[in-house]
Amino acid sequence: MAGVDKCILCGKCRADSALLKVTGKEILTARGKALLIMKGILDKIFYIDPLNDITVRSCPTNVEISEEVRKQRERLVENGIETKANRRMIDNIREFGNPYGSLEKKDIKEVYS
Amino acid sequence: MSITWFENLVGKENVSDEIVDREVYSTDASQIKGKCDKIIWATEVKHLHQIVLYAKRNKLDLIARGAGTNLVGSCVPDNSIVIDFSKMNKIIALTSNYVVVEPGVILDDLNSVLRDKFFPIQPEDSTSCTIGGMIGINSTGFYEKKYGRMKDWVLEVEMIDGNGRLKKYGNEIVGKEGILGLITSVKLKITDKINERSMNVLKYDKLNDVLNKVNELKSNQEVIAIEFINLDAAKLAGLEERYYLIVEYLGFEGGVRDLNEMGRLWHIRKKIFHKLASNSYVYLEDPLIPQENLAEFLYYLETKKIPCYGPIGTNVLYPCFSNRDEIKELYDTVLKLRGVIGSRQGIGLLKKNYLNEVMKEELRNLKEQMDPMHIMNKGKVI
Repeated sequence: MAGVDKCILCGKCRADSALLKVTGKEILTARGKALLIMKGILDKIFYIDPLNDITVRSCPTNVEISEEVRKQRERLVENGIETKANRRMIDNIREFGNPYGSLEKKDIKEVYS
Repeated sequence: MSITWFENLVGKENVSDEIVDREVYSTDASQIKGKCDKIIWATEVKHLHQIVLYAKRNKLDLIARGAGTNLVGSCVPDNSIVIDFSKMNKIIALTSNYVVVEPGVILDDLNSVLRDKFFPIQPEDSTSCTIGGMIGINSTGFYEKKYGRMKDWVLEVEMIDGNGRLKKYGNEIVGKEGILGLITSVKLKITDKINERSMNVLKYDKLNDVLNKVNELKSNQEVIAIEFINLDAAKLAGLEERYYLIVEYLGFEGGVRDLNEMGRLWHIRKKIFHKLASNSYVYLEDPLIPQENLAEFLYYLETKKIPCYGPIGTNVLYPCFSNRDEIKELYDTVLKLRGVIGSRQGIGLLKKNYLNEVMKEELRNLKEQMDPMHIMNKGKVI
């Protein structure tokens, strides 16, 4: 498996992105994420894409983008950049042992990945 | 230039000038870096029409983008507005003879709804390439020997030209790399799916034997695809170090008839670029070499240890490089052998200097008629 420096921007990863099919946004592809990482841009966008959506299945150079995104999220947290949803998910896991919060309420409105 | 006008027209969700988006749309598979001013996700023809008229009034550059898989920089912006067609991906009409689609439709998605029919232009990146992009470079595929190129399958193209005129054209618009206008819909011929087909994978130790076999296969009307892999490419791909010909036939002349096994063999062929790219051979060229000079070209590649594969049945080969500086010598060799540089992947920015003057002049004339303000894909091709 390779890091983003091996990304050749071919765009074959577009075929793996379910979110791309819905939104049309290049930023939600592995190539989009790789470009931002290469440029050193830290942004909340790294929280949006569920990690299981971006795979190396189609990548000619085997860039393991999910691992690279995970590292970016660590950097985001270290720099105090996070989304409310992410903060709530962490708090819920710590307090209730699951990302949704109190299951007694049975009114889950947000689903996390 | 204010973003408000665009937001009012297409909605906030379909336009962005945020740094993260501009960064991502500043390049394409060519790896050339440009500057993107803003991005619009196209959804409706009437919006595109307004955008072209606005761009014409304000002299703004517009770049149509499908999957951004172009290798020659056709989608690289120059302070431009990039129009992403990914959301214009509807199949508008489907009959037994033709299909009408929006330009953002992905080729594999189109074929998945055609049932007993299919669209026979099958490039390697069929999982991601869009119909609009395929029209832009007059795309080809594995079955060119039988089915030709994109131009042969386009019945009608609806396009907004640089004057802001929404008109229907024939296939003369194919292969113009977005320098004349924005394509809004395409009518394509479709054909019956081939049910009876077969394959052979032939291995050789001598290049002369390969060339003799290719000549024989070219005259066989049942042969629909002839793909080649040279020694250096085979070695890098982890195959036995020999020359390979992958041949597909209409009917059962080939020894491999099981569809799953055929799929497996094509998969190996489709993964050749992946294997080369993971060994740093990431720059792919696409010269067309005249039949009489094909042998000399193949021996040249062999001497230089340049890995190469591709549709030898159409005299096109894909030599791959790890360094762009090494490509100039290849171009000199191709020209010396009276070949064509950029025969299948387009001209874009990278190969402008190698397009012949007759074609350039023809394109300049078309550009003057259809985009006199030069607001469509500025600086590409000519």
